[in-house]
Amino acid sequence: MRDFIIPDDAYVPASTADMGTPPSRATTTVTLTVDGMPVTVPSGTSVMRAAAEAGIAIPKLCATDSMAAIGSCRLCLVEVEGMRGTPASCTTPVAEGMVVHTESELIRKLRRGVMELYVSDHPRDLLTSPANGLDEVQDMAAAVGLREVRYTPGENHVAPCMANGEANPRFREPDRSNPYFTYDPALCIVCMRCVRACDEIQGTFALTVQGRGFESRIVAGQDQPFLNSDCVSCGACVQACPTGSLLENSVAEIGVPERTVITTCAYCGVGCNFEAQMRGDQVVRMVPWKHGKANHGHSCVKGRFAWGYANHGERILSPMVREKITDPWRETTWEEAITFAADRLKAIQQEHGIDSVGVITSSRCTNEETYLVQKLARAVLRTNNTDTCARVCHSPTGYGLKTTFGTSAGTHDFDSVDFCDVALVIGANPTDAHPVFASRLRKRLREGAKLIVVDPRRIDLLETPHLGEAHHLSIKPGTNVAVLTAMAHVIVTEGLVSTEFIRERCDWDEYLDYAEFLSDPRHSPEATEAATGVPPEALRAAARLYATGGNGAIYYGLGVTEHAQGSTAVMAIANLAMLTGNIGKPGTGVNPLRGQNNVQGSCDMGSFPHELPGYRHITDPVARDIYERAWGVPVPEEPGLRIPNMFDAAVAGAFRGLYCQGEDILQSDPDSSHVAAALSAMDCVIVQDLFLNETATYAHVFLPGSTFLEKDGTFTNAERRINPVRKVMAPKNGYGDWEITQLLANALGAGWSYTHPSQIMDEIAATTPSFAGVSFDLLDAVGSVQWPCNEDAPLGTPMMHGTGFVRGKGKFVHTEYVASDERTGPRFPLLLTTGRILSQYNVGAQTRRTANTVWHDEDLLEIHPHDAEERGIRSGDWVRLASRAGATTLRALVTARVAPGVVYTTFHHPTTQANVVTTDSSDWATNCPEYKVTAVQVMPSNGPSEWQEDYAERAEASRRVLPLEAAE
Amino acid sequence: MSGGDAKLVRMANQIATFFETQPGIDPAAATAAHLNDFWPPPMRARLLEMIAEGGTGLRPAAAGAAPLIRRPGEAPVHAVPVDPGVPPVRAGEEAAPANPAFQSEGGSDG
Ligand code: SF4
Ligand code: SF4
Ligand code: FES
Repeated sequence: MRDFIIPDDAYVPASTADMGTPPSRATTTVTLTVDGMPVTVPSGTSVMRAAAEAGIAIPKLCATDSMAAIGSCRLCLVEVEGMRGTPASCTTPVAEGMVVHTESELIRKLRRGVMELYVSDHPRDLLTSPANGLDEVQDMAAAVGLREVRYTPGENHVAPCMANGEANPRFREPDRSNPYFTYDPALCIVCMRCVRACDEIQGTFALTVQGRGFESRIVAGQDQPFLNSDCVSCGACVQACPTGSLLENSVAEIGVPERTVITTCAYCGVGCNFEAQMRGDQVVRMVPWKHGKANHGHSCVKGRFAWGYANHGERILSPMVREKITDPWRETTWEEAITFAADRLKAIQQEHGIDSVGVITSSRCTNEETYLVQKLARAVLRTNNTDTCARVCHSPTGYGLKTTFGTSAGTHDFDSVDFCDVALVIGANPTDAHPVFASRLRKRLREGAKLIVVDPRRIDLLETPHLGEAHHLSIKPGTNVAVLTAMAHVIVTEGLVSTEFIRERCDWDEYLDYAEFLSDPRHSPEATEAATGVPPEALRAAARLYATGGNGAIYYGLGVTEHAQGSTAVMAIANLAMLTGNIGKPGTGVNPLRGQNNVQGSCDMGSFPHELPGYRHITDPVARDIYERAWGVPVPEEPGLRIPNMFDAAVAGAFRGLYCQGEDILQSDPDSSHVAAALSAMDCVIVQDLFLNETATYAHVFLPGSTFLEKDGTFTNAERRINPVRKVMAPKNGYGDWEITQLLANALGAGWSYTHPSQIMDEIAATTPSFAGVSFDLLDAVGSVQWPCNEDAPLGTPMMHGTGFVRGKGKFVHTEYVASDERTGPRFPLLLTTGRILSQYNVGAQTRRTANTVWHDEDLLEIHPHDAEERGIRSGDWVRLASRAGATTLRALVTARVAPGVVYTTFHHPTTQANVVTTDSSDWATNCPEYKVTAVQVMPSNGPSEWQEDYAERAEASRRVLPLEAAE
Repeated sequence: MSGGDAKLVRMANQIATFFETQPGIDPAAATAAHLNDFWPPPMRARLLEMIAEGGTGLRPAAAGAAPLIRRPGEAPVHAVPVDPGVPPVRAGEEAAPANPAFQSEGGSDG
């Protein structure tokens, strides 16, 4: 007998089949027969799914395996021996010994009756419709053998005109307001799959059914165009729609896809897996992959829709060089550009010393690319001057978690959120920055989990529909450590600690010491209120809830790390988890939400100037020896320059050459004028990117990069999950980024001969213990793995510190609050904090070059009505935002989402240049910039600041390009 | 003081401030350990010069770190174990920290 038990998350590469209903989580099984075939499935499985697992596809329209069945279309009827009537198989659970028949004369008759009704109110000729080939009404009509429709054309939603020639009041024109998809009501069968997708999967509740019976139709918001409704354009409804009523515009433009490649989104740290659905070498659409372990078939507007930048007209495809940054660019050949770059780097090193050059990689690059760039620095340029943009976001996470737990990474996988009872979200805005995770969290919140938000701003998570108990601690920017320590004070002094956990997993004396420290009245919420602005009772209630509310999971973001005390705050978070025993079991843990797609990976790959791959310190002779043998050269043993150190050294004249891959340091690093001064002081800046980014304004060599669609590799998401990126088309610029790095290395005499990124991963695995088991073959076989992946854990490690901490005993570090130097005063009385929004990504280089700009075409300054009124500012006014570092102008949005005294903006647009205002203040341990706190003044203004004008002029001048012919 | 020097002083003081709040350790030694592990040689060299010139503006733990700061070009000061944030991975695998600031019973058995 064939055994049909298939594990929950089985990876069957070919299987995209819709199983009809979601899998059951039950551990007990039930055996039944379907059309004579015995099937064993977990109890709670639907008859429809059991049949599907036996390979029998029962006709259906309203059911799909991404959401709970509602049994409305009645097409999936079956007969069950001993049961009366014909139950709907999607809503009927299996039972032991059940005997199911999916076909019979009666069933066929009933199904044809159902289909006849559907077809009578459905466009009959789809030959020239974009939905042709995708409309399941067609498929089902065929499946049930519908041969005639007896109803004469009468009232319908399909025809613009009625039989008498008058306009059909039921007909509606398609809604084309969303730039990526169209809603054509004529094709709608009101199966409610879209409504359920929006509610259950996305959690936005933007769609409803209006009217009843024959009159019912799907509407967005209050019967608005999609664009003006609450819709966040995640596309879940489009994916769920069985008829093509909701359909991607790209399908209408290109046609139905013919093949599929599984790959990974290149935007945020959630790391959603996608099916790139292709026609030839053209992407028709990106559909979130249902076997993706981070996203389970869901995605956000960026990953699903905003990939058009790959074909944007501003993309640079030819290498360019210039003598001076004031010259126009000169297009040239790859050979000349690489030689030019290599010669300059060599000359600089000869004249100014080995350590006068360095490299910066981006968290947008693959692991393989990042590994190669740090190898280029260490093995070819022979310097540890290598850093990554993770410096400016999550370096304190690395330091803090390594100190307390022993590993520079989050503890749990995203699936763990399904088991949490209390979610403590600190300094993160998941609905905008980690949307798919936010949807999963919202689902859990709807199921009754409680929410605590620690943030200066009222984030959207607090507006979750059907949210139960929720607390918002609205803190003054820069006081995280005081708030977290006060929470620990409450937990300790009110006796809410988990002594059992601490005795077993931590050092008891050390705990007593920390408890004494915490018990001091100076840490009480009453005492810290003056600094933090959090009412003591609110803080106490939140602390009690986290300690006693069941499984408590902490999710935090850059609002924790990007502070002068970022590393201390991370340790304070770890302490909270240890004090309450909220670690080492599902539904708990300390989980950093990483900003960019490969922040985790770029840290893992040894991009930091003090660390070799796998977080082994550069002074560690054992680790150095491994690489000296692998690379055949001595590895320098002194820590190199970090990004801010590079800028300082450049201004001082000691650092003169930079290879910068995929990172726009000018726009994304703080204190833009200082960065600009540093870049202009260098003799050779090599920028490798898709577009002439802001940094390229100061570059001498531009090497055009490739997109994630054009190369193979891996990204590692916030859960330590190594996800494959697969090449779906040839690189338009000619080379994958890893090949470009190799060209440069070889021009510097390296003699590398990688022919495929899988060989780079093999080298990483051979030299890095936590990656020992990773290979492209493994990823092809199982989809993705979470490191550590080695002999002890051949399929990876979803949850860390299960029975013991990696470092042995958990470490309680004392967390004294130290007020940031960045304080308000008479000149700069407000605190600026920064963030991002859903539709744009980071510096926006990609998303600004897609239709996503319809949602966010400029950065706005959010200011509290009280502060606005004092200054005579109204929404939409131009305001000047100034700090001790610089000034910029942008438009104001008056809103009570920010507290009085706090202003907030995003940094997606180069014209705004929010980082002109941010200062060089940084985290004590890692130099991670203090983006989240800047003392500022805001005043009405009527034009761009001096910097903006100067910069605009310079940027324009520096973007001039002489084409290849003209140069000859 | 030049802008660059002032920044070094501020950063060294931030580090010193942190270690001064940790119990049962010598903050100067821990500060030195952190600088050895994270600061590149030119920055350490400049800081040592400034300490030699009197260490204006430096907190005691920062100024007092001088003897244990590795001189660029010289061998590591072996008496000082590395910083906690980067456990030495002597066994070739991620392991436990060895900074006195963070060493605890059982802390080094991982
Ligand atoms: S795109 Fe997403 S948010 Fe918008 S209606 Fe569809 S499911 Fe809801
Ligand atoms: S941006 Fe993030 S949440 Fe959106 S699809 Fe990409 S990985 Fe998923
Ligand atoms: S598929 Fe079961 S009722 Fe629609």
